[in-house]
Amino acid sequence: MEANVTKLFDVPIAVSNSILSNFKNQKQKIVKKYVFVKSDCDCKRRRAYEITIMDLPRSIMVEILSRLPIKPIFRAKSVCKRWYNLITSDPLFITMYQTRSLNFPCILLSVDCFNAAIIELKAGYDYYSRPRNRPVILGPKFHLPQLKPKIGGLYKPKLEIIGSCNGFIRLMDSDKYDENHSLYISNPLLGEYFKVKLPEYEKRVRRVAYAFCFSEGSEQYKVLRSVVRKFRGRPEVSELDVYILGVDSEWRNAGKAPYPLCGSFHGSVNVTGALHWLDDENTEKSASIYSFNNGTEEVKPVPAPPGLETPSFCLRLVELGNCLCLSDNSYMTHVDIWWMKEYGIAESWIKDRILMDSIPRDICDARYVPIIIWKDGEILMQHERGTQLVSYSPK
Amino acid sequence: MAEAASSTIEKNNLTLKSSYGDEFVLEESIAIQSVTIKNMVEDGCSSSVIPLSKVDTGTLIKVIEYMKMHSSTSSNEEEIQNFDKEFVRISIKTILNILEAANFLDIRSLLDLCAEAVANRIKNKTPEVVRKIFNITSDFTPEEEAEIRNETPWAFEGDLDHSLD
Repeated sequence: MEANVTKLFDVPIAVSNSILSNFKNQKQKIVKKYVFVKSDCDCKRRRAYEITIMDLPRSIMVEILSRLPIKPIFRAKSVCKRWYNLITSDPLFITMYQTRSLNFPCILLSVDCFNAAIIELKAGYDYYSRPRNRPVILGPKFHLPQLKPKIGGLYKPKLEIIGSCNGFIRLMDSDKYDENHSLYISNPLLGEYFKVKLPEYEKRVRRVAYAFCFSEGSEQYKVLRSVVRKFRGRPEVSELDVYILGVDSEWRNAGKAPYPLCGSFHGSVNVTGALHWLDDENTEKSASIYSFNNGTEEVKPVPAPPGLETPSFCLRLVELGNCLCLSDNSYMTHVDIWWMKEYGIAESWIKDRILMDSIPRDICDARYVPIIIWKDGEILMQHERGTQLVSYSPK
Repeated sequence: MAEAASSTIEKNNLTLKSSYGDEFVLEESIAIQSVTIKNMVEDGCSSSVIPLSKVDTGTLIKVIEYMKMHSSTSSNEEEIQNFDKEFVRISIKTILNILEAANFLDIRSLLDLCAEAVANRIKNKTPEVVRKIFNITSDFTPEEEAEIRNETPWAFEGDLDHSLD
């Protein structure tokens, strides 16, 4: 396949693929500035005999508002109190926005740790309008936790994004080895965030890694934590702890991981109700994929492409169109995307090869990882080190 | 089962009555795109006229036009797409009426089409124009409104549409 690649823009990118939406029925206290009392007479009608949008049932109003892209949603918040309440606190809006937000995928760009922006990509319903896929940059300052510089001022506060799920992003400040690190769950669309309560710091803990998933069956968001503790004379073991948002008050042990988990757990991928990560511990052998079932909390191996010998540090797990994919960046001339067409079936892995020679010379580099697939098959790819985005059309 | 017997002989017709009292005769196979009507037929209450007290004549004509097109076997996907595009080229007020009817009659695809159309019409407009279109009076104090705007000033920047249609 020839790559028809368009350079979209050139900004440093830290994190990808956040589909905006919201928690459902979260009991957790969320930071919010306004709480208005709902009332049907909030917005007065000018002429009683005319049908206006305020006469429509709440569900229809939500149907309309939830179809708006992000910018107009923020404008709609300022129209009247009823709309403000619908958008910021109506569970119906939140559910609908989640189900149709695929039309407006968003990616998060961080220029540096202080400057982040959400951009919304227009892929939507109208493929024929030009320019296509033009990103809408939503301003550098959206709501993120305000970090205070540490006392002593040696380190600047640093915010790292370590995962996203249904549009929620999970942020971590400072280093995970730092005993004072904190974890935030943030909904950048609504400008809300809250801090996750972490277990007390233990001196024996050598490595911590976090992941974030959503269990459809129970409609619960879960934060996962893998902890490797140091015991003299004993092999390292990774314990998995689970914390259900809005339900649990304490972290709960969910068994052991098959090997000590490390960095790749951060980039774990949510597909078909399970969290997936690559074994990056044993870099000699080829890829092993593991899954954590979001509902049953079971850890299982998932078959990798048979015969694939690329070492796992050149591989990246990604989700494209709800399919588990592996991106192989071990070649200079091309990128291979492996698709597991039928989930769990080793023989169903199919390879797409994207040649890099049609990319303009100045941005040519095979270190592109696919992040989003549009309805027409076009694939958006992001540079591994996070400086560029390119769009690839298979046609 | 009298209804089952008659359907084997000839196409079953239903009569829909608008809020103005106008009656429209429609094939059952077309009308049951509405889940509400389908349930009525299955419950056996379709032998007489189906009164739609919430749907006025003009709106009912549009809804029937939509259902006829979408149940026709002779039209291909492209024709239906073009039909949908033309169908929503009407005033927002009319679309809102159809939305209410689609909600009451439970016709999912029509509801989607109209909600999408309204969202498309208002997405580039200023909050002031949106209020005018929908006859909404802002109940924010100027201070509250300014504060909301100041939270996300970028959402109010750029080329916004000030027209009323």
